[in-house]
Amino acid sequence: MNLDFVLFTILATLIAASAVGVVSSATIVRSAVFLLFTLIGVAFLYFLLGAEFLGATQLIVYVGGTLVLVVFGGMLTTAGPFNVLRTKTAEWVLSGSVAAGVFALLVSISLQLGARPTSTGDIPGPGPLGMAFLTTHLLPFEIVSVHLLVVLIGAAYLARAKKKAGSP
Amino acid sequence: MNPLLDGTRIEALTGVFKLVVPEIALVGVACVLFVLGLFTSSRFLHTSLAVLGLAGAFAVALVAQPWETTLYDGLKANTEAYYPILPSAAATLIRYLTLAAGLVLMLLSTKEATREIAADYLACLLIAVAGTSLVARANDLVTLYLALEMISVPTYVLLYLPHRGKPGQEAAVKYFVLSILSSAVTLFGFSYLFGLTGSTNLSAINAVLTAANKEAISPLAVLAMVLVVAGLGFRITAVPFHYYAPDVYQGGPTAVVAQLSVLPKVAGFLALARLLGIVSGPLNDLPFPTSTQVPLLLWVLAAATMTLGNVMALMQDNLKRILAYSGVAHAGYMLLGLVTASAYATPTEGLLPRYVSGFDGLIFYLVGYALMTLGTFAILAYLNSADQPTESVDDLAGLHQTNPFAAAMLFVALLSLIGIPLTAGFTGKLFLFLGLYDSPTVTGMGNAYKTLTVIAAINAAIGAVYYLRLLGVIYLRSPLRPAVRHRGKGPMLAAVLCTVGTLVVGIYPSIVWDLVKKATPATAHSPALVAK
Repeated sequence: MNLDFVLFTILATLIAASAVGVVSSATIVRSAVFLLFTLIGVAFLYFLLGAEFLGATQLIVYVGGTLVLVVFGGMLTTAGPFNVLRTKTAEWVLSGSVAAGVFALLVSISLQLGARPTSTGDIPGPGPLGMAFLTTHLLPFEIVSVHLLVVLIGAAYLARAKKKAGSP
Repeated sequence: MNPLLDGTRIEALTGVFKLVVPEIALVGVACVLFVLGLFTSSRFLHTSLAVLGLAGAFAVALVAQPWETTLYDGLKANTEAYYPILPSAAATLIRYLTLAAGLVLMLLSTKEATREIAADYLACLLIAVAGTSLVARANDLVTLYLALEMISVPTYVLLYLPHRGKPGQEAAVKYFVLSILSSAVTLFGFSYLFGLTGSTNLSAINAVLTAANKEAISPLAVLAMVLVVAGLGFRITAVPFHYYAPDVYQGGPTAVVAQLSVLPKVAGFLALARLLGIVSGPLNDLPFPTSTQVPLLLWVLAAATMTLGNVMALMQDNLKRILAYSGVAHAGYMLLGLVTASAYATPTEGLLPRYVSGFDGLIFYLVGYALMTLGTFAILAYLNSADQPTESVDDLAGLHQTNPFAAAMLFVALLSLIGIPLTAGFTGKLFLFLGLYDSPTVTGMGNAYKTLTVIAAINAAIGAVYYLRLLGVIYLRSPLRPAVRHRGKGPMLAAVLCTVGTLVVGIYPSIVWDLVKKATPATAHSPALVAK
């Protein structure tokens, strides 16, 4: 039993337990906090695999950006400070059975795989990644900027509509 | 040495951008429209600029076609060169198709896109058209995913733009949330494909999976295929993933719904065909387990989609809900093309020459489907007005007395949707059904293909019931409300174009069929183009 294995077990337990917490907690803020632990755990998983750049990006984008948005969104849109989400028993049963089915499928397939994939060498750092973005992957990179433009326009319309409705 | 000056890198860079010039032109015009919309609200200026953009893209596509064809033929011979963009013959055909659909959609939207929103509306439409064309030629998982999102993201904005109260907002939010969910599932599947093969290039993925498949069935590859089919199933409204369609169609603006019923379906089917490896052939060498697993998955999906779509459409009273379920049913028919194509995968001896190999039938049906669906929506957009909304079946009562011309065009579109001879719908169904019936029975699926043809035929009969019900309301009942002068030159022109197209393709199918045949791979045993 080497250090990798021990660290992976700890991280996997943290990620899985807090993921269950995200789903089972009744208030949005609690869910968001559990999500924080899941995302941090995934970031550390990347560090464990040696992908420092990806891990750092995960921390900055998801933990730093998206999660703050989720918390703010939850705070700004709900009426009370702790809006409780009520889940019906039938919904628990249905979603639980679907999740259990998918989980069983993934586990059974993963166990069939046998040998652990071997590392294919060094994981590229920021340099080669940036080079790839500006050469072979420049077109997708540009498409993302088109997406962002359209999203900005849409957001502007959403904000304007609110103002119109607010001031008759 | 500066690595940016490395020759192969520069070649890869310029080579890719050369292959998507029309799409870049469309996005460029869209950006100009976004900016122009801030300064002027001259509708004429915006529309003419957008039309110019489409025409320019069409012209560039025509100019680039010979060069792209040469490149593609070279690439087919040299399987080692992995391009992120693959200008396959099918992709070129789909590019022209989407540009034409873009023009019709632009005409359709003139009534609902008011002066204030026209610039942004047209720009979003152009980006969605560019995305559809890009999906057909994307040869890289990253590009493919982003191109698919290039259709969805403008659609969220478009659904929200005309802003028609609660149902419109509900439609926009519902589409937004479910579309993101489906994208996540697609990405999950993509991640398995990448993990299995170590490449994001689709040609490389197909090559690795095809080779691996000859030795043993990889359960992970099957799982990846299931996830991808589930994620893309949302876009083509295949059955367990269709549930957003009726509500979104009912609440959304008619012109946007028309777009929603065509562009994502074209893109979804093309992406599925590309991932299943049937775009560039050879068909008897496919990258997935072909004895039963994937053909069976598509078989079940097709049967469920057709049957549920048609049965649910019988129970609707809202016109757009009927069209939503009819769209689901037609997606089921189109899935038959994929089923047929996957049937040829198992190398079998002694196959007779087949005329329809599946993918060609699918593209032909997409053309017919786009014509008849856009025609129907154009007439609904034409008839719909603020004081006389055309929402439920009763609103069409006695249309042949109040507006005989619109009634006649709706007659043609509905006959085509049923699949009556001399319309595009009939020819499309004929090719799909024939191809499926002709599928080899020596594979693991046995006679299942013949059974599916029977199910499809029964479904076509069920479908006739609700289309004929509409025709009965239009021609046999007396009008419930006074005749008004309908306005809307754009939707009318779009409807006329689609009606003429439906009839022309129905009467002379060889115009489109020959193009489609040239653009799709032949089965190992079928002649590329049967001489007439």
